[in-house]
Order: sequence, then C-alpha cells, then structure tokens
Amino acid sequence: MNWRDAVTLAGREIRRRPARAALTVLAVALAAALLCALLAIAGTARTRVLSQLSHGGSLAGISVEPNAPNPAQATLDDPAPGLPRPLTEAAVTQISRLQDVLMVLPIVVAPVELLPPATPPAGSTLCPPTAVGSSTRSCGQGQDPGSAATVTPVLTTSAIGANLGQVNALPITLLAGRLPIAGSGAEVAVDEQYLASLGLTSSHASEVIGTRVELVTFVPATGLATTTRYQTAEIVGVLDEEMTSGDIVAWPKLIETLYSSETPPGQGTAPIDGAIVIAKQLSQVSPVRAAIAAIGYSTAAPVGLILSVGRYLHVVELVLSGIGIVALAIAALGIANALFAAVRERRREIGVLKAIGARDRDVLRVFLLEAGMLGALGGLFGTVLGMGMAAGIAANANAYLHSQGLSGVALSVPWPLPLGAVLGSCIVALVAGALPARRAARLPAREAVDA
Amino acid sequence: MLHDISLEVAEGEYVSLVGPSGSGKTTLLSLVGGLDHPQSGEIRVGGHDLRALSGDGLAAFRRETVGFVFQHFGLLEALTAKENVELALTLAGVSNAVQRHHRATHLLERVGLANRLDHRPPELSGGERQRVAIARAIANSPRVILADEPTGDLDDATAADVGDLLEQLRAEEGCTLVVVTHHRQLAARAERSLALGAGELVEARGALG
Amino acid sequence: MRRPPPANDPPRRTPASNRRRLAVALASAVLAGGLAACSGGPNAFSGPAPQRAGPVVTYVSVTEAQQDQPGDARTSWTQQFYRSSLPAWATAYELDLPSGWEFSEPSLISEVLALRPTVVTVALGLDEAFDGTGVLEFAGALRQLLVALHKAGVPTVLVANVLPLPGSPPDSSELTSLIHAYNVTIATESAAEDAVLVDAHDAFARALQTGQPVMAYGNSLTTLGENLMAGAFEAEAKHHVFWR
Repeated sequence: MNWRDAVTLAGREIRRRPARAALTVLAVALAAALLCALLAIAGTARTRVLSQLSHGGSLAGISVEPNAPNPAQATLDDPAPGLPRPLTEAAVTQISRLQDVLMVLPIVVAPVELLPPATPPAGSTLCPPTAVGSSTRSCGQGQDPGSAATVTPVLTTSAIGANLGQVNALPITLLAGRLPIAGSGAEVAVDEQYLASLGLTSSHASEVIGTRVELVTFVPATGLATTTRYQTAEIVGVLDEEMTSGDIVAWPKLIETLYSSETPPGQGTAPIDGAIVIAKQLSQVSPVRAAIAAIGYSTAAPVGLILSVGRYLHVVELVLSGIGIVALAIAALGIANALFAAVRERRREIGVLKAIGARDRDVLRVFLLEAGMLGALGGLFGTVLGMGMAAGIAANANAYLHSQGLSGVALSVPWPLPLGAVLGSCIVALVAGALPARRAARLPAREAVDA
Repeated sequence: MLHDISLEVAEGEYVSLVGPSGSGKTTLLSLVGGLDHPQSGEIRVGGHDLRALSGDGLAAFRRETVGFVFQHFGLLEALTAKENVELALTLAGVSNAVQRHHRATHLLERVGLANRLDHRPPELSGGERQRVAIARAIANSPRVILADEPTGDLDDATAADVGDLLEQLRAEEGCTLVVVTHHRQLAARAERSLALGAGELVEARGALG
Repeated sequence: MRRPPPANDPPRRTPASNRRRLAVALASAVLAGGLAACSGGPNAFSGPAPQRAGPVVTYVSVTEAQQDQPGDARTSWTQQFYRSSLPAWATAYELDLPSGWEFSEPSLISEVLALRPTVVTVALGLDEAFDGTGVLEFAGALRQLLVALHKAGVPTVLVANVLPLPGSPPDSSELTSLIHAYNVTIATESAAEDAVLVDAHDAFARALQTGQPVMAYGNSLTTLGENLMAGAFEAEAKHHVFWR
C-alpha cells in the first residue's frame, strides 16, 4: 500500500467517527493555540521590553557623543562623558569604516524657538476656558491666543536632524502619527516636552498631529539689520521619548536650513551633535565601542542591560513553552486513547485487511497517518486560533497603553512559530499514536474470522 | 482443536466443508488461507509451503494466491463498494488509479452491482455486501477462494444467489473453491463434500443430495 | 482460466482529487494570510498623505514698524500678512533696522536681495516725511529699491503709500502736503517697476474719518491699525498669486 492510498484510507477512517475525531482535533487545537499564544505574547513582550531598553532603536545601537571617552567608566553602559570634543565629518567617516559597524547615523542640530500654533488644539492651556471655573479649554474658530496679548515662545530648544529612513536604528518610538517623509523640509515630529508646553498630556498626542508649529531663528547681522526668520512646519508625529538634545525631529534638510539662516554665510553646515552607530551584531557592540573610544569619543549603549534582561526573558519563554508543551502532551494522551479505542473496535477489520494481503507495516502506516492527520489538523486550527488570541490580547493591551499615553506594542510573530506549532503537533500526535499503531500492526490475521 | 487432518484438493476443484459448530471448520480454513499457523504438520497451497512463510511472505501469499469470503462480509465501512474492491488491488501493488477503477468497476458489474459502486456497506443489503466481498476476493485472480459461511447471514433466496455466483465465478476464473457452510443446499453444489467432526476429516460423499 | 489484467491507461484527475487540491490551496492561503496579518506593527509612515509644497515663497518686509521680539510677532500686520496671504510653506524674514536708519542706505538693498525674496512688502515714507526729506530724494531712494527688486526678478512686490496723520485736517499741513507728494511718487515709481500699489492711505483716511482708533501717537499703529494694514495688503496680494 503506497502512502497516498494509506492517506486516503486514514482520512476515511477519521471521517467515519466525526465526533471522536473532532474532539481529538479540538484537544490538540486548544493545546497548540495555548502554546502559540503564549510564545507570541512572550516574543512580543521581549521585543517591547528590549526596545524600551534601546529607546526604540536597534539593540545593537551605540550612541556616540561629542565628548572624549572617560577611561574610568569605559565598560559601563552609560558612562559619564569626558571633556567636550566636536564630532567632525572626518571622525564620522572613520567610525563608519570600523570593522563590525553596520551603519552610522549622524545627528545634526540647530537652535530654534517655537511659537505656539495659531490655533492650538482643544484642551491646550493656551486656549481660554470655555466658562469661568471650567476645566475645558477651547480655542474658537480663528481665535489666536497671541492676538490679544504678547506671544511668547513656548519652547527655546534645538531641532534635531537625522536620516529618518533608518527609523528602526534610531532611539525613537512613535507615540502618535508618523515620521516626516523622506527629505521633507516642512514636516517635523515633536516630543512630549512640546505637548507639555501647550499644557497637553501624552494622551492628547494625536491632538497636535496636523497642526503647525512656528520655527523662529535669528539671522545674525552682517550689515544693517538683524533679521528674524519665521517658518512653519506641520507636526506629523509625536515621539515617546524626551530627547535630551532637542524637542523637534526632522530630516537634516530642515535642520541645515534653520542653521544656515542663523549662521553667517560660509560658516559651514549644522554641527554634528552625536551619532548612532549600529554594530552588525549585539555581541560586537563592546568591541565597536572600544574602537570608537580609541578614535577619541565617548559612547553609551545598554548592551549589558539588554543581555541581562534578555536572559531573564528567555527563562520566561522557556517556562511558557513548558506550559504549552504540557498542554500538548495532555492532548497527545487523548490521541493515544482514541487510537487504542479504535484498535479495539477495528480488530476484525484489521484482521480482514491482513487477510486480503496487508502487511504489518501497511496497518502501522494507516494508524500512524490517522494520528498524524489528527495532530496536523489540530495544530493548524490551533495555530490560527492562537494567533487570533494573541492579536486580541495585544489589541486590549494597546488600548490600555494608549489610554495611558504610551506607545503600543506591535505583535511580532516569528515565522518559525506557526510552522513549528503545526509540525510539533503533528510529531507529538505521531509519537502518541505509535503504540496503538504498533498494537494494530501486530494483530494476527486470524482476527478476521474470530468470533 | 484439529488433529490428524489430511486433506488434498485438486486445482480447480469445488469442495465444501461441513460439520457441527466448534468442529474446527473455520480453523481449518484459516490454516489453509495462511491466517493461522499449525502447531505441527505441513500445509501446501498452490505450490507454497506455508510453514516456510511468515510476515511479508505470508501477506504476499494471502494477497496473490488466496481470496477470502467471510460470513460477516469483512468490508471496510469507511470505503465504498468500489473502494473496497480497489483496496485488494492497492495491496497487490496496482498503483495506477485508472487501472484499479476499471478492474473494480468490471468486477462489481460482473456480480450485478453496477449501480451500487459508490455506496458504502451500511447502505447495502446483506446479499449486496457479500457480492462486494466476492468481487474483492477475486480482484487479484487468486488460485484459491476460501469462503467461510458465505451465506451464514443471508436468507435462503439470497443465499442461493450467492451460491450461484460463487459457482459461476469459479468456472470463469478457473480457481479452486473451498466453502465452509452449514447450508445443505450450498454444500450439495460442491463436487466433493468433506465432513469435519471431533477433529477428524471424513469424506461425506461425492455430492450431497 | 485466469483473465488477463486490463491495459494501463494514463491517470486522470477525479473530482475527489480536485477537492483535495482546492482544500490544500485554501488552507495555504489562510495560513499565509494569518501569518501576514500577525506580523509587523504600526507603520512609521502611516498617516494622511503629506501636502505637496509649491514654488519657493520667501517673504521679506521692508517697513518702518519693526518688531523687536517674537513676542510681538502676531500683532504686526507683516505677521498677519505672512500667515493669512502666503502659503503654509512660506518663509518670512523681518528686518530689524536700527534707530536712525534711513531706507536709502544702499546696503539695505543688498541685504534684502541676499535673502532671495519672492514676495516683498514695502511700507516706508512716514519717518522721511517727519524728517522733512525732499520728494526728489525720497523718489530716488525708492526708485533704487524698486529697480533693484525688479531687476532681481522678485515676482511680487507690494508697496504701500504713506499713511495720513491722525487728527490733522488733510489740507492744512505742510506735512500732509509732503505725504501727498510722496504718495504720488510711490504710485509713479510702483507703476514704473511693475510693483503693486497698496492704497493704505485711503483705507486709513476713511477709518480715521469714522473715528476708528487705527493710529496712536506718532506713527505707530494700534492693533486695529495693524489689522487694517494687513487687510489692505491682503486685498492686493490675492490678485498677484504665483504659488498656486
């Protein structure tokens, strides 16, 4: 009997007892769903926790500062910096050529003042209260908070420029909206400090999306006049972290424009305030840091913390896997029980099979395939169910996180997980079905005629 | 328990085996068909020494040399009539699905079940099930057909039809037919009838009247 | 006699095998879809499509009413004009001129042109009138400025005439006559250099006649005056838009 015919016969036998098969498949499905959901949630939590440690950037990210290294604290994740030392283009190039460096993202800055928007979002403390003693604030149509009084800047800060196309490498996490499009000179992302300057909390982050922020720089006098430069930009995103260098993030093009406007001509480009260096692997972060220190710059990277936390998370994943495997083992007992019952019920049928010429291994093959098919079906349904459960849990978690003004989690399921769940269920079922299948194969042909 | 049994059946002969319940008729048939092993003695069927066979060899013998018809029909309820017949061909190594389909269809038409090909055993009458079993038994053109109480669960009219069918097929296929039966009329159709009693085999007569 | 086995025929698909193939394809599609749906997270570039900027709009105001601090920004007519008449992507420069400055200074022109403006508003003359600058001298300086802007290809140049003096009868003051002469010059020179004349004088005169407090002591504008001035420029600017 070839495999195809054995599969057909096994499938028919399964369909002959649909209720029993359905219950067996359900047991496997629930176990597989539990395993998938637990591992998916554990994996997502791991990604989120480690991402928080790296502030949303690459785990192998290194922050290079315009300071000399502090030899006494070289091995620390976040050492105290040494004396200031400008980070030049040549130094950035030198760093990018280091072995084990995947990429270098320079960060440029320009000082800027921010004026409040002409129409602040509802709820901002820049808007008058809707009534005496009211906690609700509303800016009416066309009402400019600066129209009745002197308008003061809400923030005197720096604008930070970086290649936002490498967002996964940058230590930033979106709280709302998106990052400015490539090369844009008219879009910015702000941080929570900007929200605070408008009297808004993180939970109101989406309120500022689409509003305009006024960027003011002061052009130095080269002749007769000093000049004030005004430019508006659209806020397209709000970032989760408060960046120490500044509160506005944009593409370098905008930063260069701001910097050049407030610098005498010929004074060069916006200074490099730091750089994000991505090592090729987490294990190469320490050697790369040492190499950058040798060049003469201080670095910070949470690699020690990441590795330590990663170990603990791995233990959690092992425990959760164990729980899921126990569930699968229980389901496997169900398969074994069902097959033993089937062997008892089909003694005469097995005898007839042998009487008409089936070999022992043909009978073994049919019963093993029955077990495998039950396991595969259960694994398939369980994987889909488990992914759905994980997605539901993630959705609930995100709703809570957003209500607390925090960025949400992205459910990340490594592709081997669903595949592994189906295969694993299949293998467990085969193991469970081995004994009953062996018993069936050893039944004598005489069973065909025995009473 | 059988003892001191000596039996010789010529190729193409039709023999019936009669005797009271518990006399060992089914046991003798099982030994001849390779379903069981004797504790002592020799069994040769179609040139095969059954003592020398075991495992796959015995399975091959049952597949190629012998065709069984059981009192309980012995059909797989998960399969249709056609698929039950095809199963015998599958086990014999006929991998071509079309070839199996044609052979099974032809056999079922031959036993008068042309319009019942896709029915499962629970949907067939007793006589129809036995016809399917007979079709399966001759699917691989065996040299010997062993029928254990083939009409045991059938009424007289149906039993007579089944008996006619067995005779016709034996004549067409040219195979040896050994039938264990309580049924006098079925036993009487045989060319030779043997009686089994108290573990011994005796010649009844040339044909039972 | 044994019957010969039937001849071999090529295999063909049966309805059962077609059903199996369809089931496998559907299961694969469901699995692939489930995998795709479960991976990934919020798209860093999700959100509404960004607005497309148009041609460069750089606005420079050459005016006597200077703002010292960004804190005064919103009230000035130049800021109002910048926000209401110009597109969102426009950049605005306000020149902080020192006290005692004279707009006839040649370096002013070069500083304005260095900013590469595409929209320029000019509101000058009241200080010169108070200083008693002669019409010819005023005309020459204005012409120099407007010629330079014209030569530089600035697409939109809006020139306001000189505002009336508050509280003075229009026909009795030497100052008023000088302002009138200035305004004739401004109209002439603007027309000659394709600049747009903004008749702020008329707007303010009518406002003053109805008793609206648009001007305070000296030549400073009240908030109402700033709004009126902005409105006068906006009314003319909408006929000379190049950025749409």
